[in-house]
Amino acid sequence: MLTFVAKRLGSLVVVLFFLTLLVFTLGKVADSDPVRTYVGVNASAEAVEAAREELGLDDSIPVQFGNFVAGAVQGDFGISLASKRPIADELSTRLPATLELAGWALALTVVIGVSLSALYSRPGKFGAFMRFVFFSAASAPSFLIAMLSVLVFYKWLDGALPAAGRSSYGPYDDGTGFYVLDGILHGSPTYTGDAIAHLILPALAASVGSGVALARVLADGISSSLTSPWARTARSLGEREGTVLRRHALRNASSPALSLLAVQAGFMVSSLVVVEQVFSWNGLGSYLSGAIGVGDFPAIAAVCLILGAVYVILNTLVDVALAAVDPRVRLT
Amino acid sequence: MADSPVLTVSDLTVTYRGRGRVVTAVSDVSLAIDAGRCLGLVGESGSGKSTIGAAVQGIIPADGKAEATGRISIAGRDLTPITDPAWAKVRGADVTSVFQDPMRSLDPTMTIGRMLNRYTGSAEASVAALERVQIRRAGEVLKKYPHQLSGGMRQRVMIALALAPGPRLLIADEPTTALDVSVQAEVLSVLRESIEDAGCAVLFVTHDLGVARHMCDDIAVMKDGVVVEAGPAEDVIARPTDAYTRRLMASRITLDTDRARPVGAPEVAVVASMEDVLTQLERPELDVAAAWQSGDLTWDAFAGPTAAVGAATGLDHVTLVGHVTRPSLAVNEVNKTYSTRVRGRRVDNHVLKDVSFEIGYREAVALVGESGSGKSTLLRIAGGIETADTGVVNAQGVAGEGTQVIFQDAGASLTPWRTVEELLRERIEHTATGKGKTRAEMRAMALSTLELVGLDESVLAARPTQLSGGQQQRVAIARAVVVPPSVLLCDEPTSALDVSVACSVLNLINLLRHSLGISIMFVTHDLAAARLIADRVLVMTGGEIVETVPAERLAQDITTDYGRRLVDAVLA
Amino acid sequence: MPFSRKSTLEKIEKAQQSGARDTAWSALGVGEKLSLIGVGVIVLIALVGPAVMPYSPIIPSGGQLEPPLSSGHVLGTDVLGMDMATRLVAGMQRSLFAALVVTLVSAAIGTLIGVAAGFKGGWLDTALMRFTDLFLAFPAMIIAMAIAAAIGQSLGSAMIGIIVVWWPLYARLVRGEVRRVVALPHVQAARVSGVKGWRLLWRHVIPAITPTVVVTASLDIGAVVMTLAALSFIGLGTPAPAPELGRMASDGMKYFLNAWWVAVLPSVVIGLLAFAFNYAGDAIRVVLRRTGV
Repeated sequence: MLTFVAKRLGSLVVVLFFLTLLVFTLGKVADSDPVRTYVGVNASAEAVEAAREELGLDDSIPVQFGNFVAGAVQGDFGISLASKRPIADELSTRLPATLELAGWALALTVVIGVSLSALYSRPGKFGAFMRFVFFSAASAPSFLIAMLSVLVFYKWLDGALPAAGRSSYGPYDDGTGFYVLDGILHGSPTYTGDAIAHLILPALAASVGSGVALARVLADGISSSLTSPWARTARSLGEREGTVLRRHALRNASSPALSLLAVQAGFMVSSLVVVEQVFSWNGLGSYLSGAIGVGDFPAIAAVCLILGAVYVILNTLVDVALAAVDPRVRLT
Repeated sequence: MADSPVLTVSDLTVTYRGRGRVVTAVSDVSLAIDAGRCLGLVGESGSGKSTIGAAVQGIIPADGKAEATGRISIAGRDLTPITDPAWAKVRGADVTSVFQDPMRSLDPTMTIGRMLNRYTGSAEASVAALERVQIRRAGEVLKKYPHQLSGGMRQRVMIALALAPGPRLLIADEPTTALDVSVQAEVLSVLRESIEDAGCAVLFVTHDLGVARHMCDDIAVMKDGVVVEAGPAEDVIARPTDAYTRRLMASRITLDTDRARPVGAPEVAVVASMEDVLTQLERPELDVAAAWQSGDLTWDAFAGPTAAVGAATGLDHVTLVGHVTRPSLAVNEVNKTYSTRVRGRRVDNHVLKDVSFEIGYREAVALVGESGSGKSTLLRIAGGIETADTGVVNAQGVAGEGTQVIFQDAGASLTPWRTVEELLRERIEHTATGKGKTRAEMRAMALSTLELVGLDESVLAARPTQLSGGQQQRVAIARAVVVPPSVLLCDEPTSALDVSVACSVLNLINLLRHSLGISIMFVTHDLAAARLIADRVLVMTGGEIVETVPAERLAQDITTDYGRRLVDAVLA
Repeated sequence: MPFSRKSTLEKIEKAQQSGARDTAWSALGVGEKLSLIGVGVIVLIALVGPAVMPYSPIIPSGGQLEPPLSSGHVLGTDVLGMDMATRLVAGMQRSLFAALVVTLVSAAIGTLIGVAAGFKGGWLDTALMRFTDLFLAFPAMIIAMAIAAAIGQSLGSAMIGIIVVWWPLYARLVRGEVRRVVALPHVQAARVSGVKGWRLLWRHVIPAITPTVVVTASLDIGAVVMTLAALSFIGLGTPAPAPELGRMASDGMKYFLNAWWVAVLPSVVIGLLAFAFNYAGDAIRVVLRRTGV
């Protein structure tokens, strides 16, 4: 087990290194001139020269990359071309927002996946209808789900749920940045409830697609488990269908579902970018779309690097968890 | 109650509906088994025997595709087939079963203990249950997962599981078919002792008459969903009255089968041995190779003995390869090691250890051993599919005509989207004989070879998926001999076939050997088949040839412990 | 993204296990036939639609933000007064074309690399697969975003971004398939018969992996449509007035509460496209499994 963990950690470092290299390279080949974006089109030659130096563009490419890596490791992603402020400052308030939303969305994915999986493999007309509904839900872009939920819960139900922002009250000065947690820490049910209400629609929009995908994998796993020879053995020993399902099928279907969940978590990080934009959620996603709009590549690179790192680390964690659960994984 | 049978099946008919067709799997079958008796249900694939096995446990899926009529009565309880809700009460209490596939019949995520304790009640009782099926160190086995046990051990666990609820009736559906022969013998004896202790009735489903005779008190023979013959095991085996049973019996190959004649009711009438031919020529002392080279002996010489061999005379492209004084195949100190990584450590598996042997001109040699003995690896090296780490394999013959292989799964060895003609032509093109031949010439070669193996022109345009299992095996053989190699390597060519098909394939290989003048290397786990085909039998175990025995006196002359175990495992 | 690449792979693997090859229209169920007809209709609309629509997709032709079913604009107009229906049909054409190109190019690159790695084996296999695995370990959407952002805001750069993250799946899939097929008895038997090299690959290996690649590609089109739309939505597509569905949806968000149709209709069209291809792809897979030739 230790060697397995060490190996996974080793490949984690390698992947992170190449991810950084890729993002850095993209920054170099990006088709905008960072200095011009920084100082403006009409700046003087001196101003351009000063900006070059400030942005560290006078160094050789390898030195620049070294600085980039060193900075990234310490959480320093350079200066935003648009706001001319350190990118890290901006990100520090936005990262918790995204992580909070992602956590809730992931939880919701599991709830949707598990509760719908039973409906998916029903036989007959009902099952066929459910599969139709599932396909519709899985084919709807997350922004469509976001828009429809805003129309229903905000517009037609007259503001039953808030459709923008993270809170009606703003952050606590000494808060963690996770609003629900902050509300609980400060013992304020009103604040907590408000934060949760703001979370519901974005989390739902970000999780419907993954939830349905999870349900499909679970349903597939369960149905193939139920037709397997060992399920037949259990039946021949007099087990009822319910027992076969609980005692045998769920256990066997859970490991593909777990690994799917890891992949979905990665995809969710990116579909959050879309959802944040719809709900004016002050996270990394809306920051990223803002940066794309003005061609601020250092900011884009920073967000991609952070989201990418989250994805890679998450996958490593799930791999280790799977290995801990199933001894056969470790051998391969 | 005590005197009435544990299982009574009356007028059972089972039909399956699917894709607009209705298939009758079982029709009007009636059976009865008393407590303590074992009934063998014997038949080839598709005979309906497994459907009966499933029906008497009530595990035919009630999805509307299967329908059944008739009555099944178990331990005095009358049940409607398939639909009766009472099946849930009967199953696991009065009826349990042991299935064929020991690899997958146990839940991979559970330890043996967790599975077994549920039905025995306690860990102590589970230990006792495992000891009853002769598992030593039962305490340790309880902590293991199924994938950590061997096939034989898993099947013993299955038996312990099946007997744990104290059933009145045990269904054993081909319980040893997937196991090695010597393991099969052990598991059968464990099963036999266990059911004698338990005193339950047993329905034993099998395709193997030898196994049935060994295990069962009574035998019912099935064909096409109907019981064609039933009675006490010895009567059915010794004095079969039904024509199909007789054919089944005749197709069986044992250590006493006459090697000089074709087995069973063959499609090819007579095998001409070299001796026969020479006798007919009234020149029994002729030096074959010399005669061939001097033109004294031609295929015309074979025209006399039989029509079947006469077909071979049409093979004008046949050339004699090899020389009588040199072996057709020489294997010299071959070593092979596979390395795998387990938990980061390298584990070497030395599958062949300094193996040497020769196959003479027109000689047939069988390599016998169980899975893991290295026999198949040796064949693959001889066939050029794998390479030896060290050592030399030398086959006589010009480029591409040294060795050819017949694989175990003939259907899978034919590329599904190529026609039979394309497959044969492809083989001809890649040999020295085929160089410069026109399409028409190659077609004629293909045709005459197909006739030789008992097929006709109609299969030329067919794709392998359109052929039956027996036809596929014949096409595979035709491809291997359309340009005769000096050695034909046969990798368990009959183990996946029903007995009647298997014995006609064995007859065919025998015929080809004699009529085409090729040597045979026959790899098998089945001593009886080895003895039938070969002149010499090499016994392999652990990557070494431990013994060489003349086939004629196989049972008598075999001396090593391992060889004797194999002989004893052949169930007569 | 609900149709993750991984689950697609798993579905394919399942489809393969049945050894499926041929298909037949007669083996299709009602829903499956309908979905294939749906795809046909969509393709038809995308092909001929722009030519028969009465307005131009990029020139204002009416009042601003007119609701659907008013003044000759069946689906209303957008904030610049351009006809929504015309823009949607044009957007469908763009989406479909882009998704097909992305899928084909990814499949082609991946197949080439996969066949090279799987058939050659040895150091080439190791090198190619290390490279492929590195790309697979990257978060696909995020890398696609970074690439598209670096190249510039246009549909083309979004397509390149997606191709870069999509080909490794085909490379892995095809490499695995080739390795599996090469070990099959029929290939070994062909080898024993003397067939080797290109002939062996072309006659005995490639036909076995073609259905897998085709089914995977057909299942992927829906996912590519959605990924392209997502990139376009966050600003990585061609800016207005180009009729690009994702971009139309995100631009429409500004007036969304007063004029829902400008944002919702493009999103619905994206959903329809994805739905038709997902459903049809799955139908093909189911049928292949059922006919199981």
